Amino acid sequence: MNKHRLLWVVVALLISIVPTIAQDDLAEEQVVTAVMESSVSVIHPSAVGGGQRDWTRVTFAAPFVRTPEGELEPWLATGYEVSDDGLEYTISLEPEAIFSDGTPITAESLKEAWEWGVKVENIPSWGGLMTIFEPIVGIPEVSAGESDDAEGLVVVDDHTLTIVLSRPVIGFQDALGSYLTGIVKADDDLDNPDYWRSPTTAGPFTLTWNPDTDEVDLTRNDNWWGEPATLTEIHYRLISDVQTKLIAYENDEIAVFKDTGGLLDQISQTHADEMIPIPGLGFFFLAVSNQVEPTTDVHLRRALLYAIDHETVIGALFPNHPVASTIVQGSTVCYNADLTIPYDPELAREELAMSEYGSAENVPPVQVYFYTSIDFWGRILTAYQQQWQENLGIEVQLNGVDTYDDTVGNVYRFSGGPTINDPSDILTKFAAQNGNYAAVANYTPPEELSALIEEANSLPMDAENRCDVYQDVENQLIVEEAAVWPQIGVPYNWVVKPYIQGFETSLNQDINWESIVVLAN
Amino acid sequence: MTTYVLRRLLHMIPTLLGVILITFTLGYYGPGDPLQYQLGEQIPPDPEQLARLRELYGLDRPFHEQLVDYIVGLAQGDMGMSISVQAKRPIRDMLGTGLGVSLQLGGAAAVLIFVIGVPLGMLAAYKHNSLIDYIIVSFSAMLPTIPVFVLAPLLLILAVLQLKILPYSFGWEGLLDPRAILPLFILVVGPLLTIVRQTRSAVLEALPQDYVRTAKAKGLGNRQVMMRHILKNALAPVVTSMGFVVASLLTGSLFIESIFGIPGFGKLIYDGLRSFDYPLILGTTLVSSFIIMASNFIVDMIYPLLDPRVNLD
Repeated sequence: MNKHRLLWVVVALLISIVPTIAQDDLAEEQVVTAVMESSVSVIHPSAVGGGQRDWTRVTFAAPFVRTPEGELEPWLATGYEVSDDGLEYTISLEPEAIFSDGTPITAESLKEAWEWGVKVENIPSWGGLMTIFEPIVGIPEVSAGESDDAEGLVVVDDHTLTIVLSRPVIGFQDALGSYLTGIVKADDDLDNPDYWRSPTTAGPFTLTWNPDTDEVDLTRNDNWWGEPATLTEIHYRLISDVQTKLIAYENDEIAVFKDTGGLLDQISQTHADEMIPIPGLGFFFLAVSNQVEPTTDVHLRRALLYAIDHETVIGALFPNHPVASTIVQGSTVCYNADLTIPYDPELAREELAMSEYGSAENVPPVQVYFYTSIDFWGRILTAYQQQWQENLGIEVQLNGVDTYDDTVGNVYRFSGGPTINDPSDILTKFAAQNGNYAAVANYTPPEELSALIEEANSLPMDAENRCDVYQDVENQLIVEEAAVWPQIGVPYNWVVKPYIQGFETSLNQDINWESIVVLAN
Repeated sequence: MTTYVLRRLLHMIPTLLGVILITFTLGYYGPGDPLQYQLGEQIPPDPEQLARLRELYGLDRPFHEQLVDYIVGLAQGDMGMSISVQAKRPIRDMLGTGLGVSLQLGGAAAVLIFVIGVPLGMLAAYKHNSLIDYIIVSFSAMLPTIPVFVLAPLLLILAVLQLKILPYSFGWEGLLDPRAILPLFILVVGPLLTIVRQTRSAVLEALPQDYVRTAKAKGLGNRQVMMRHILKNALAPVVTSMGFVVASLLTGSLFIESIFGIPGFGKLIYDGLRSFDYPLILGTTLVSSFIIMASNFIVDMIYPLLDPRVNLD
């Protein structure tokens, strides 16, 4: 046997051995138990808002999925094209795609699914699919029950669907990678509540839901058109108590859970190596009205902002939580790491002196509203209340409430985040005249600021100064206008047993169950 | 007797109507809006959309129309649909399932409380001011002072993670599954003190009575005197207390069910309150009221069996 032949034999042997070793490493039972934190309120993807998004990706396939880096990857669709004017998105569907019952998925299937999903009786109170599909021509009418046919969803052929928008929307393609756009089989009896116990799915797994016991079980779908999943079953079980969740994890009853901050201090110490941060999430912030006295005065707003040391207060109260100083958070495009909120009592007093009130005695009580349902805000705001008193002598009243019923307050505690990996979405909500967050906080942005966000949104994606303009908008909102006071970055993490391999997550907070394997342990 | 039973049952109807009226009024005129509440602090939908949803759930109609519709529906066995659940589950089904679990757990706890509490109370009374008495009273007084949200994780860590005598920390697979042990234990220790102390003081009160002395003079042994004479007389106040205990156990334990992931009635109360699910709050309040009334009724029916002097006619 010559050297070359020997080499080839060795290579061939190695190739044949490697998969064998990998196969041997796998656990005999490819079954995972994960946790859901609250009862399942809805199965159909167009209304999924909370923990249920974990499994929506693998049961009701959306046109695309997101990678951990925020990129779109083919899922139900193979690709898309955008018209030059940004008004038409043509998506090509995977020709082999079929529902779990074996029937083909066509462009008509997708159109019908979405038309069903936007109907008012099928969307949740916060908007669901409508929050991203409202710009599609004809969708508002379908949602309102005025029409059954969304003109903006045009079936070109069996595997091609064109989406026509009524106005250009920056990053609309990212919406096609949202779990909200997952497909359901509209021919089925979707209006029957019992249907959702075992719906027809479209993805690597089928789903059964027992609402009586709050159990959801995913089973590998034999009619999945892609590479078959290694996992055969995934069990979701309800554990709403955070301590029980951790005990169950340490007792190996569950292999995966999501921590939304309640266990951050504990898991950072005991399970740091098993934590997988969820990228691109939102933040808690205080939003300031410029329509209610005394915060109509920009100098007073600045004085209030500069008089609180939010980094020290939050760092002391929540040492493991990321302090937020920006609206666009760390893992989102155009994040500005250099943006800092000044804590400068002297500057704060100067701003107060420049305000129309001149001094603290003339300032009417500032009203701060927060939800009592999240108890730590009471502690944070009490610290700020003392700093406002000490640094400015201003009286601030804290109002813990269940709901924000009116807009009589000056400062409101909110949370928010981007729906796409781009600053346009989140900053527009604050800086545009009709921005959602601006509206709920009773804040009217100055026209120059709104013009600036419009300018930013009109820039081509590859424009060199795009990030600069967005960061300018952000700086104005926070430091100049003192209208948005970022507080805490949302510290969401998956905690995953080491024997679960291949685990990835994205901005959607979903899990790539289709690629995960369980190692023998 | 029959007249008494019928009268008591008929009295339940106006009481339940009163409960409905109060709950409905508080829900309707109280602060907050169920849909607005679910909206939370996130992006608001446009007002027209909110109005359409309000219309869809019938929340846009006047108070009296909603109230009458609810009562008429209730008479037909319809308790409405959950508004926080997009899958639109009927409240009746949700309550049926949750109540089934809580009845098992609460029923078993009630039996254990009676079976353990009464003998312990008797023993403590019989050996009063002895070490046994002190131990029984101290333990039955100590455990309930630890809040459930402290006791439950402590026991979980101890039994599941440290001693490994229990394999599971959460879930519900029926009363005979090991998962039921810890929640049952915690459910039992809470009210145990009440029954132990009630039995102890009732037995202590009965011990010096003439009928006890007579029974002993007739030559009956201590056990016979205790079981046949003392216990029967001492049970009346214990049964009254058990009525309250059973009612509170059957209506579920919000904390225990939440901590151990048990899909019971207490969890439904929690879910309803958390999501401001108006029909679910109404349903759970109504069923809780009914359970309390039914338990009082049953207690009243037991009295004549314990004390022949009580005549329900």
